[in-house]
Amino acid sequence: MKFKIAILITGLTILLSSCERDDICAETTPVTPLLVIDFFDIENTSEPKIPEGLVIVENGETVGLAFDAATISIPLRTNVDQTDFLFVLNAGSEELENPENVDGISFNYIRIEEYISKACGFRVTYDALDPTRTPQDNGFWIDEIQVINPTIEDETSAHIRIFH
Amino acid sequence: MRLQHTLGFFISLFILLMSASLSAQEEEIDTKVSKKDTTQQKTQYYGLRVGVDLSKPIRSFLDDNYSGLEVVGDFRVSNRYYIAAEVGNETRTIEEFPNLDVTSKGSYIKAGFNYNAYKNWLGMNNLIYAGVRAGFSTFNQELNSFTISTSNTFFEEDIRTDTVDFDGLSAVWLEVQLGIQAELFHNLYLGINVQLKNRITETSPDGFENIYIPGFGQTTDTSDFGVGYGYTISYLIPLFKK
Repeated sequence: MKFKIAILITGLTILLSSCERDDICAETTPVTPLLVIDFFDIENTSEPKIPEGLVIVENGETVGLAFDAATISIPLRTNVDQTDFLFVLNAGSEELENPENVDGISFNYIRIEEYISKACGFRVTYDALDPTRTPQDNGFWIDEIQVINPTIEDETSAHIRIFH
Repeated sequence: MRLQHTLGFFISLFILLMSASLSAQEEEIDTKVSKKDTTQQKTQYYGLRVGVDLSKPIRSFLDDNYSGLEVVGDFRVSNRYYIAAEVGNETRTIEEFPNLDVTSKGSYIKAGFNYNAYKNWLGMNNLIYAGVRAGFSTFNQELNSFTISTSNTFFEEDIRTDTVDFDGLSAVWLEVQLGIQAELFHNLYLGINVQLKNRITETSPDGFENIYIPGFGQTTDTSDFGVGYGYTISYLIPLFKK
């Protein structure tokens, strides 16, 4: 009788432990972090300033991301050490006062592959972030780029500041 | 794949529970008989029982992502105790995770003893046993492909397909085994067992983890436990009688 009970208890324990699921990556798990950018006013460097009609496109691509905030997050490529973006101000604008202005920023970095879990697989973090302005047609609207944190491991605070 | 595993497990457990209740009935009869007839001497065979786990070659045949073989053996050392061991080799590819595809390959040995709780009739040599084992596995893992997890789909999916090798891995675990061994024909035994394992130590690969440990099974994030089962067929080489 004791033996039967022992079998039952052990059996139940085994059944419970075999019901676990760990093949779904929880949305709260930190995966590859985004680059966080704060925009500031060049005339008053402590004042956040929203870039008007900002659209960010990867150089050579046609589809971009539109933003309307002083703090934005953008992804960096995980398969190469460089991502070239075009920062388009007043995108699509035909007004003479606020013409469309395209600035290029080339981000160079070191990639570090990091294991997360069975369900989420691997992620990439970045180090030694180095942004460079690349001139486009009609002058720079971006006056200065300041690197706050060259190590991108999370999205809690801005990695770079852009003054305009 | 996990469903198949779980199903086999349920069947094992079911049969085990069934046979346990049957055995209780038999034991009652047994005591009656022995009261009537106490003059006969019981013949007990002692010897080496060797066999194979049938579930592993069957699974190798049915499942493209698995191949394995296990040799089992036990040796009776006293009326109720048996020294027992299993030696095996497994190759298992796990591709059920969305961002990983990994193959684990290696050998293992499990050694310990079984306690036979079954009181046999005269001349019978069946076992309903509980056993403990210490398990040791050496293996390697090949990361066949993996995906870089991102929170957006701005860029195309970054899938890496260069195989990464992780060699010289090992793991140690403790195992509790419950099972039966029934004599089908003279000295030929059919057995089933279920195994509950607990990982004690392991050498994990740098920048990765052990996904599947041969002999132990698939690891889970939430605990150090693992489960297993076996269907064995074995032959008793009678060495001496008592």
